[in-house]
Amino acid sequence: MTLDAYRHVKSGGGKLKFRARAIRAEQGEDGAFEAAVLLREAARAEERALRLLQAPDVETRLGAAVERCGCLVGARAPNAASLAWGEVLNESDAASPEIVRTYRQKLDPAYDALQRAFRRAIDASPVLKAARLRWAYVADQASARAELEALVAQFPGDFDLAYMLYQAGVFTRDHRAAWAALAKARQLEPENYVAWGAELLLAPRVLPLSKAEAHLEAAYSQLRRLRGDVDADSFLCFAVASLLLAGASKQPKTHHARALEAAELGVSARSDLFDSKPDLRVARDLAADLVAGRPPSINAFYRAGRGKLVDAAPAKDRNDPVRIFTGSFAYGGHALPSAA
Amino acid sequence: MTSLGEKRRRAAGRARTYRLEQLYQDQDRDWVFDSVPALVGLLSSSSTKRRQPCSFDVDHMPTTGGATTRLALSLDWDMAALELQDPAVRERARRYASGRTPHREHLPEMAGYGLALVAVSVLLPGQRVVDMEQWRSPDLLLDNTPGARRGVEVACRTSGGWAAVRSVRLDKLPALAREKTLAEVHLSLWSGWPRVSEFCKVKP
Repeated sequence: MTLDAYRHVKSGGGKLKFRARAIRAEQGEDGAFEAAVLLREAARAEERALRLLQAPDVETRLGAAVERCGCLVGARAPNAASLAWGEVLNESDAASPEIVRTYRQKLDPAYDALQRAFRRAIDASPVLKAARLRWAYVADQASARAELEALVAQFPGDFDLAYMLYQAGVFTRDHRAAWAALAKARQLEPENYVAWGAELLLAPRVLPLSKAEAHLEAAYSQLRRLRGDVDADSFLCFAVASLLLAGASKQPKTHHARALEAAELGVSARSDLFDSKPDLRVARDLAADLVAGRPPSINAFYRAGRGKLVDAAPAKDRNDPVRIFTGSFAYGGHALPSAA
Repeated sequence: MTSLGEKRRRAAGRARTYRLEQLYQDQDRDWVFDSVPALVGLLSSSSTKRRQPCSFDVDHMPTTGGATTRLALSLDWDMAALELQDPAVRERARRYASGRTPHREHLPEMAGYGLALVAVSVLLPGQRVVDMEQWRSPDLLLDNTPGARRGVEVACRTSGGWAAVRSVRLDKLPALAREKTLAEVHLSLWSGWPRVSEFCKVKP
């Protein structure tokens, strides 16, 4: 059964690679993003297939690492490829030099060429380079955006660049551009929970009310289904989005109740990579007040050790704890994730 | 006056016509859907002198290092039948044939996969391609079981004839022979014009 599942998953990845190749052949650069999405899914299939084997031998592990890295090279995703390259190097240590040479014959020059092209492209992007590829540090946003768009065109499969384009949109209050960039980033890494959280936060600001509510409804089902495997950050983003949406919805109590449920689940989540639990405690206390029909208390911030959010809030928001809280998530400041 | 190709076919005594629409039955649709347009494009392009049925002289070596037999493999197709499987196939093939796809170098590559699928269907009857490797050999896998992979390494040149085919074989053979994790490998090598091919077992 395990071997059958391996064969099936691996075969599915092979078909994605073949389809991507045809798209590149028939559409050229116009199909580059579509092909990249398929290749990144093929890379994940290689990884999933390998996990299905109980004790894969060194050749199988190295072969999977080579194909996975190769898919990311083909997708022109230099950041993800560099992560996968580490696996190629690690698996190569255990294999014979002859196997390493045979398996990496095509990959090594292609990987080197991609990384050289990426470094050249960064060198040709002085504003982004000066900001160390972090949008929050960018000095000249217009120039940086032009540089970033050129990089995204050159490396269409790179999640980090697509995500930075989303951040650029949020920082410049161009929420529609941010949404479009985030949609592409999500296609490249559908399981990246940081991008999922960003999408939840942006949906109430971009989508019409009915669509935003449908979006959160789907996310609510997903969170309940995955609850044990979800990082606290995803619960936090959902809770914030629910509080935002409640302000516009005809059914605010539903959203308050869901914000409370997500915050409670988040506070007890096993994984908390972004130290989200203090904010989740704020969300929980605010939502609990709203569900109970009480005015939300500013004390929620101080009880959770987040009093500095009150000080940093715009003067007009200081008497509205929910606005203080949701407003603190308006700038898309998540660190760049590195999932491949 | 009898052409040289006709003399070869008569000398070989083996001839086979394969209709491309049959490929949708013999192989998984996922492979066929994207390779047939390129294959029809290659066979219809002006550089390979359109003529249907298109006949390839195929040197077939069914056992490693064994005897070679020559097969006259004629490829024929009914565009209307192909369109039942892929309504866009005519336009896709035309774009390949006219060189209007963005990357012309992909034409022989994608067509080569189509030709290899035909070769597997004709010369390894009952076998189906199940997987594709992009970064290690062989390209098309008949079985992707770890440690016992079986497959077909593919190469196609738009021109060059026997010399091009043999050159590719000599280039690919040593590495494939060295590969200890492969249980079975075939080489499927093609020249678009003159239309010649080798399909040889190189392992075990």
